[in-house]
Amino acid sequence: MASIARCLRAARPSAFAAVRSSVSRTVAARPFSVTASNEIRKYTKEHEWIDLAADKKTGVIGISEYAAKALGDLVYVELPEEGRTVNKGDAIGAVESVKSAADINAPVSCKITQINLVLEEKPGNLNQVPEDDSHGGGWIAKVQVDEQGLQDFEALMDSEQYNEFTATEEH
Amino acid sequence: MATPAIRNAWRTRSIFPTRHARPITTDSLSRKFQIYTSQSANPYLNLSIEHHLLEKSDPDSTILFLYTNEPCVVIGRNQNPWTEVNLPQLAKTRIRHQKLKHHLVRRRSGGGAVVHDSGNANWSVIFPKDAFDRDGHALMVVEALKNMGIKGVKVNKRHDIVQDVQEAEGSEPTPATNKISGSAYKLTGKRALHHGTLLLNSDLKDISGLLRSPAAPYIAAQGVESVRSPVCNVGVEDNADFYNAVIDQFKAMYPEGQPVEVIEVKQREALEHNNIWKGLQELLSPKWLWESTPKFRLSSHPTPEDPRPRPNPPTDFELSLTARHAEILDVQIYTSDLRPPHQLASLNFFLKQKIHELPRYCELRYWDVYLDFRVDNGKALALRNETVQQMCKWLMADDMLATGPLRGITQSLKTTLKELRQIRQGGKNLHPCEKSFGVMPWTHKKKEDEYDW
Repeated sequence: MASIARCLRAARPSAFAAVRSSVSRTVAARPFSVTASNEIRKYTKEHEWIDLAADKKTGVIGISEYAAKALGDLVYVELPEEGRTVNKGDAIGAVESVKSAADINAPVSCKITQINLVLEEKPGNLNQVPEDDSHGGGWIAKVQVDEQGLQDFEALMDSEQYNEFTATEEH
Repeated sequence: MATPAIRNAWRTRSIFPTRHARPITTDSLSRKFQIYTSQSANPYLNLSIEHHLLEKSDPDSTILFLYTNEPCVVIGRNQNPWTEVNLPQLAKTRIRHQKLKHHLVRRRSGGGAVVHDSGNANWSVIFPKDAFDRDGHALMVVEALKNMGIKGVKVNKRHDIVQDVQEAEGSEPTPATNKISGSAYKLTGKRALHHGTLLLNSDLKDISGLLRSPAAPYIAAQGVESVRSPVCNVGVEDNADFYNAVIDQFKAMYPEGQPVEVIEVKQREALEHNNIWKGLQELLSPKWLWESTPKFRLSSHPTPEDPRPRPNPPTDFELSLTARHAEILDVQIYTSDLRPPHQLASLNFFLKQKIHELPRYCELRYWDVYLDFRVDNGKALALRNETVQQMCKWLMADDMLATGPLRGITQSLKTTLKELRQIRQGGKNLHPCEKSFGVMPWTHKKKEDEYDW
């Protein structure tokens, strides 16, 4: 399994590039006075990711491709409660696969503003595109981030550090 | 109480020559290897103790926890009680003609529904997530069973523990197996939990009936569906023998941790832990039990999304109901009895109501329902009162949403919490059955034919 995960990681940048380019295309179509929302993605040691928008107030969270792969076929995604304010590390939901319920923890302190209801119908999306934050993707929730959340965000790993981290975690 | 000896018989039967009845402490939780057993037979409390161990133990520690529950049906975290459990049967079955009924419990781990009684031993291992492996500790239990002289036991592809079907002498061995223990897992940030329930000498008669819901053919549910397997008992009379065998095998698996003392957790002391009490209150809340139910749709007739044939569909109307987290989002009906006929309409009365908070059918005031019955354009429709009655009766009947039994089950959650609160606040450390009968109902096992069922 470790080797599969490694292959996937190698393949990922291109997948990312596709998503990014589509984003920049839509951005280019907007009037020039609007700031391009180049979000930054960071990861936790518990394998969650968060995209922070350029305005540093909103973000999108999900679980990493590495974690989705390790969990196996997901049969149900228990989504967070909309409107709930949570601290970093709080269990906000869970995913179930092969008889295991795995907690999803809040990567930073935040308020849940929107949840990806499509995942309730199609938990498989989380296996296929766990790190996609578009409609039909495997993102879990959209959040509002405050001052404390920003501080939490700074302490997380960027994708390079995260790749190193998961490489050392494999046995 | 005149019967302390009988009362304690079940608990003390040769369990643990080296046992230490003492509380879970910060010190015990910080040790590298820990073994606990529970004196309580309350399923909610035992799951809460387990959750406490999972949350509060040292992240590097490995823990074995063993317990036996009083009769209950335990469903997986993301399951639907209306499709998995025969709720009317659960609400009315009295165990061995005593006051005690089955509890309904939603556990925190994944997986399917199981029935517990005093003939089931629960084994649970908590360990660092880095070492997570779905079979490791099931194999530990298999080894323990082998050491007890039980033959043909192995772990299958579904991570269940199974036993080969015993063949008559001389015949060819078959690949058929019976399940003796399931597996379910829970993963948190740093920790993993693997638990299962082993059929030692369980009363298998009730099991399949309790896990067959009359509403299942009508409901298309998201979430997790149980997989049925043939089951059997391994035929160990005394749960304590199994406990000891598993403890020995756990020690053999982790020899570096020796010596490990076996800590026996007392009900009262467990209840005094604030974190355990918090977990217990959660498990005993209707919010957890009912409102964690994934979205489902109940339709009286086959639909494009759910084309299964229905065993006994109503003839005068078609009805479908959608609910998410036990809250009714939509009830649509279609009947020729409408004026004008053959229109799709909504029964607004049920909207936004929680299923488990609906009245019993007999308490329903038809007039409320009748007034709230509209087509989607808001125009009121005429409908015969009998048709409204029929629809409500069908929907709320024991075979469907079972609103009557639901109320009973919700009430028993409250009663259980109240009783445990009394114990926590210093009441006698007695089970309610012991209070009423002086003896735990299953300590005194009669022969089958002594019952008049």
